[in-house]
Amino acid sequence: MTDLGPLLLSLRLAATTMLILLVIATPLAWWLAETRSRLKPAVQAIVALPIVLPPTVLGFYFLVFLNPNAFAGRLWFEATGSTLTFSFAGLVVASLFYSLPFAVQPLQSAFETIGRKEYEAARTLGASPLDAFMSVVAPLCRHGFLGAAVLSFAHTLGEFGVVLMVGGNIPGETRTVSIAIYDHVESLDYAAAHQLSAILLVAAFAILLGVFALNRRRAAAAS
Amino acid sequence: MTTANAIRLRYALRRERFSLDVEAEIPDRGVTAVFGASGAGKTSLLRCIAGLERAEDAYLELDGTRLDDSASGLRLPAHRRAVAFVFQEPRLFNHLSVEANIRYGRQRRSDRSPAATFDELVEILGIEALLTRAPSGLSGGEAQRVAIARALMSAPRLVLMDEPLSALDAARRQEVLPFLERLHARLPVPLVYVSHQQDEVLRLADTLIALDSGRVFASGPLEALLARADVPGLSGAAAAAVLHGVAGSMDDEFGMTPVESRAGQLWVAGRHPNGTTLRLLVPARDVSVSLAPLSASSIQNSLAADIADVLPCSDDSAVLLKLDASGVVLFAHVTRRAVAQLDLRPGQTVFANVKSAAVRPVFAESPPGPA
Repeated sequence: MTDLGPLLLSLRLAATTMLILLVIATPLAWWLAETRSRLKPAVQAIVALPIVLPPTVLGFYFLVFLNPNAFAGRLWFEATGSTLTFSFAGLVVASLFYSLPFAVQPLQSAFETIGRKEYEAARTLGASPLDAFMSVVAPLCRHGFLGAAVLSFAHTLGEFGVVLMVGGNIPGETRTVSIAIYDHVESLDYAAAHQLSAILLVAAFAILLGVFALNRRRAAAAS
Repeated sequence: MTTANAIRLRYALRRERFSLDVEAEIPDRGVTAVFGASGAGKTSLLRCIAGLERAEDAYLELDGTRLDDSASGLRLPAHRRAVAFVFQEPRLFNHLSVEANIRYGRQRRSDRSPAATFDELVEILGIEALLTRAPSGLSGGEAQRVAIARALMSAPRLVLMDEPLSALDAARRQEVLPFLERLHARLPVPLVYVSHQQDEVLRLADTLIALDSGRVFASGPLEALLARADVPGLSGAAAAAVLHGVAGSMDDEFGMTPVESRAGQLWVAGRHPNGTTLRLLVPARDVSVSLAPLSASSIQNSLAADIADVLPCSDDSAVLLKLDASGVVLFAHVTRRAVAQLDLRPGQTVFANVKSAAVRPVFAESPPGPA
């Protein structure tokens, strides 16, 4: 099967993005849930931007800022010897922004739901801020982490416009499933397009089904 | 009452809805109740002591160590204070079993030796049967007892309790209060207890900080503040006396025990082992006076006392008589009409009649520590 490459690349991209996002989004979501800073609305707006902006707009800006002549692109080039644009690393960076709200929002809402109560109790029992977070807040917000992981993974998997703008269509490097499907349709190879689309459809359904079934079990256990 | 090991605190807070300016020195043993109307900032005060909230001006000294000193920029983080907090709600960790909840703090403060062992605490609070359960299945009273055990198990040098019974209904409160009394009698850790409930204060407190409009109205030993009869919420019809006594040999047939106190002998309801030290609450409402000892009466206790003062009450038809029974202060809440009919005046000797059923023996007190 010739299409295994794009499929694996998409999975690798989605998994990498998801893991990095969990590390970035957790402190960000905790800060957003806790802060009374006047900066909060601005930060929230920036995080939510990818939801409303057309992916082509995001992709365009990434092209502008990540290319080797721009500041960020040059730093990366000098450090690694390869460019961010039209590379897997560039796709990961773009996906981090693109999928950020899908990781931040489930976490933020989970943190806001439990509030500071248990966290404070843990602090007065001798737990440092990090310890209290890891031993009390995180386990109590399991479903938030699950939601963030699944949504950021699934959203990255389905990414198209940004990939096209930043990554192009390099087999094994930036040719993800959605690009491959687009290619197949362009070249009127409907059979191959069907095959990949069906795989994505089933996978997406299975993931969401799993999440909702878990949520139902959790709700039943809580009541 | 300056002692080497006193707890010294000073906090000034300004919030939108109140401002608080409190300075006090409290003993490092027993229960200190912070008493005052709701919404006066008592909770914020405790949160400052625990390091959960910031005050504009803060000073806290415990065992000779400073935890807060805004003058030198010192503010120890909450987890390094060894100050445990029992909140209004239990705040148990639902992902852990009851036992794991109780051990949570102990694991983090293994450097300090706890005031009681796990088994002792579990026994005092009566939670043996709950240990393997999940916190979400507990009743309100059970959950709060677990929260208290969890706080004490963290080897604190000070325990704070913020109206721990306020979220419970009346029946549950009566279920938990005796456990707090048992704790009081057996634990050597100082406890600061915030409440606006008169009975909780009378039953638990050794020392009282009475707040009024965000300031310390009066502070000192409970008996001394009760004797002033001017503390809001503990005067007028709500006045009460606290007596200390030792149980004599009980009358098993009728289920009563004579208690020897400095004011004289009082019969109280219940069977208490000979020699137990008891704290007796004598509410002013349950004390009447007569010019001669009552003979043909159901009243079991008649103590000779001098009228020290006649104090006005907010209720126009009543007054509060402050009585001196062999150096012990008692109060009687009586009508102005009765005072006029009996022609009661300060200096007069009367008999204070105390209904046994109304006298509440609170708990077996531990012998007071070295003063």
